[in-house]
Amino acid sequence: MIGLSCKESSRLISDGLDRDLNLGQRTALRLHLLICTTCTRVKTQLAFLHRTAAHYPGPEDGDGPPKS
Amino acid sequence: MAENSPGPLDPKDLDSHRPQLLKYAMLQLRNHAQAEDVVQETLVAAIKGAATFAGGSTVRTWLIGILKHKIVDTIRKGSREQSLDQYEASADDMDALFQPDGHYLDKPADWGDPEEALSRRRFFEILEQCMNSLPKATAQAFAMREVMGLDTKEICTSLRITDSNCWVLLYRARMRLRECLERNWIAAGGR
Repeated sequence: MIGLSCKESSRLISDGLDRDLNLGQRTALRLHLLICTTCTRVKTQLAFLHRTAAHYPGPEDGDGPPKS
Repeated sequence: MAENSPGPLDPKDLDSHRPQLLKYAMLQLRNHAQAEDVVQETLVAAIKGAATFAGGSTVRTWLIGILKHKIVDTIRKGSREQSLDQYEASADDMDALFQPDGHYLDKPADWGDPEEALSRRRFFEILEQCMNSLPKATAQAFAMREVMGLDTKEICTSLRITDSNCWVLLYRARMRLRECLERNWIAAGGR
């Protein structure tokens, strides 16, 4: 799994939110993220989506923002 | 004791949450009749079980907790009747987002700090539109995982698909939503 493409990385980034990646996958992803700002962005964005979607449908009136 | 409480669990008050619950159910079920049914069942269960409302969370959070179970039950029943669309179950349409060598076709943009300027109401509105543009099972998998917070085991069982199909659906949902949010929320001045 050494030398991931962005496409392969994106799949591992997503899978990492649902299951434990194995050592080879974690290492390959970490190496790719070190040199790829685009995939680092995507990782941050998918993590944001993961955290935020749980607050759907959004704040209640008068209740203030949901605690994250 | 009950007389001293502000009475948030008056049936009429519970019913005031109906529109929000319907929205929540529709997002996941995409079927008005089914959504009406689960919301009705939820409100009935809430009135019966009003004594179990512990406070601590808001009434809406408590209602959504009940609603989630009803939604999963409905999805589970539905998936028995219709098998997952073959295209949804197996195809890897991510090719549309990438060049043959695995680079992004359109490079994902910098979202800045989405948290900081998160205008939540607008965000959820656009997220909802984006989810509605996904194929049904893809959107349902995403909703169960990220909106309802279920683990993939439970989602696979409900949709009657394998783990790896489940991960593919979630992957596709996230990448499509990422793109859709970028186009309609970030680029449209959501930040």
